This record gives sequence, C-alpha cells and structure tokens, in this order.
Amino acid sequence: METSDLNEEALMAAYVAGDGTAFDRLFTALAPRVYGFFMRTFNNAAVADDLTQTTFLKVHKARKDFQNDKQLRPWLFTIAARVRVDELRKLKPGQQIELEEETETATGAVEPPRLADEVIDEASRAAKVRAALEALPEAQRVIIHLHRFEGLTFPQIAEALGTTEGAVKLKAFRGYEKLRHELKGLS
Amino acid sequence: MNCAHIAEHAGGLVSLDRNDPERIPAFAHAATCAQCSSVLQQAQSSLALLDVYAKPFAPDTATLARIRAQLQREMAPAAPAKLWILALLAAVSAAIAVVAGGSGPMDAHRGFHCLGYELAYAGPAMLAALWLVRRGTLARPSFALASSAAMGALAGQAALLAKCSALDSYTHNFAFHMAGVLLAAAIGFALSRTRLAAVQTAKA
Repeated sequence: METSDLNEEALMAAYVAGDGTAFDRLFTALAPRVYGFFMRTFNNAAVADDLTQTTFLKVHKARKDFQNDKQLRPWLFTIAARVRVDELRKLKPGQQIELEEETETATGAVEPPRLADEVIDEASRAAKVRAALEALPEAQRVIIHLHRFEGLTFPQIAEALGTTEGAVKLKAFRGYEKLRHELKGLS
Repeated sequence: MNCAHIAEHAGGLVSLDRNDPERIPAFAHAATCAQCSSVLQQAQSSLALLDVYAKPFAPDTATLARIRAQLQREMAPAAPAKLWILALLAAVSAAIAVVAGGSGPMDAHRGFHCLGYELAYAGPAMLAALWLVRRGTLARPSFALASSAAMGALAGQAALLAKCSALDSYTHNFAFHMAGVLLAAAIGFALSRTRLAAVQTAKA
C-alpha cells in the first residue's frame, strides 16, 4: 500500500518500521499543527521553530513507544506539551507568561472590545477575535487550542498536560465563557 | 439544568460534542426557554467566530523546510565508523596488553586493575547522563553519553595517579589508561544506540 493511502496512525506504524517517506508525510501533516500549538503559547516564531524541531526529535527517539492501537495526535501533543512545559520553565521572571488566572485591570475586568455601532471589517473582526483568545491565560488558551483546533477530548488533553479531566474541563469552560463575553458584540 | 447554569456555562456547553450528556439537557431546556436559547445561540456564534478567525498560525513552506532540514541533520544516524574506530583502538590496546603480558608494566593483572578502575568511575557519570537523556534534557545522546563516560574515566585516571605503580610506562598508559577512556566512550556511545537511551514519554 502506498503511504499516501494511509492514515496518521498507519503512517506512524510504517515510520516505526523504518519507512522514511512515512515520516516525511507525517511531518508535512503534523508539523504545522505542532508549530501552531507553540505559536499559541509563545507567540514567537523563533521559539515555535525550535520547539517544533525538538518535538519531532523526541517523536523520532520515542517512536517505538507509540502504541499502534492508540491515536497519534494525543500522543504527539503529549510530547509537545512536555516540550512546552520545559520551555516555560526556562523563562526568566520578566518573561513569564500568564499561566493561570486572568490579568485583571484596575476596574476588575479585562477591558472589553469596543464594538457598539462600529462597522467592523473582516480584518478588525479577525484581530479582535484573536486578541480575545490571546487575552486568555495561557493554560486556558492551550486547552481551548487543543480542544477546538486539534479535536482532542478533555481526557486526552488531561493526559497530554499531565492533569485531571476535571481541571481541564474547568479551565476550558472558563475560557470559552470568557470568549463568549468578549465576542458578544461581534456575533 | 436551569437558566443560571446555562447563563454561567453557555460558552463551554456549546463547545461540547453534540451527544455529550451535559450538552443535551442544556439544549433541551433551551427549547422551552427563549432566554437560554438566545444565550446558547450567542455562544455558538462566538465559537463560530473563533473557528473562522482564530485558526492556528500556519508556518510557511520555507519555515517547514528549514525545520525539516535541521531535523534531518539531527536524526541522521551517526557514522558507524565512529564506533568502529573506538572499538578498534580499544581492541588494539587490549591486544598489546595480552601479547606483551609479562610481569612488567604490561602485566595484565595490573593493567586490568587500572582499566577496571577507570570504567568504575565512568559508570556513575554515564548513568547520570543517561538519566538526563531519558528525561529529554540532553538533546544529543550519543555525544552526551560518550563524553560523560570518557570524563568519568578521566576522573578515574586522576585517582590512579596515586594508585598506579606503572605510570612511568608509556605502553601501560596507552594499553590500559588510554584504553579505559576509549572503552568508556565506546560503551557510552553504544548505550546511546539502545532503547535505554530513548526519551521517556507517556504512552498515549
């Protein structure tokens, strides 16, 4: 069977068996996802470059640990999430990313987008949606990223991040709810 | 399911799978409650905005090509010649010791004592490096394990300055002291090629 006919898990199996073209296809399919994951956390192309490379190196080294009966993406993002944590630990105090709780303004709430009667063009609408997502604490943002854009379930995200399903769900719900409020005027 | 719960969690509820047991009663309630229906509708619109405008950042093809090229360099298997050279040198050293033999500085008993001493020192250094490699802290296992083992052997060599009675013999130093460092590096290198040196990841 041609590797072009295989799904990600079968490609991974072929790669583990020594098929180099399977790795190329996996990289092509998954590297943008991993890169996007790191951009969501660090918003820095050079860091995303490095961490994507590190993640795939770890995938390469741990390839024989992949279990064929499991889905590839949760396993991949488990590795990526550990790379993310390692990178977060390296950040100096002044570079800390807001991980848990929202940064509140003096009035006690994150400033809402001023949307009232503006005619909002596509570009500014997109900018406001992205800004609302970026304003979330990193921990919520990453969970929403994995849930909404990578299609991982809460249990899978919990496993990837090394936490409980309940904690993941709580953060996801807080994040989604905050986004709902921030994007109210845009809908 | 009540209005307060929906008002508080609408954003999360609409993000759940359509068949999720928490989502179904929320929408069932909304079917009979205009206010909650409106809240859930607005939450769905927010999610739709997210899907359209906040897609993950996609790298351009040049970026991907650069990452792939770097990966290929890192993933390229080390030339087996490196291991063969180390093994050959260690074998030559051992052969000299066996052939020379005798009771002088090439005495095998004394020589293997020195060799063993160095390897014993190499062990802990190599194990520490192995632990870091398995955690993913050290990125180049072959270099990390070979060099840490060699450095451990060199530490053993330093200790031998006080213990070895044949230090003034070049052949003894080459056959056993040098061989100890090379052998330690070869063992470290060989270890890096085994599953023991694989980065430990959660099995998804």
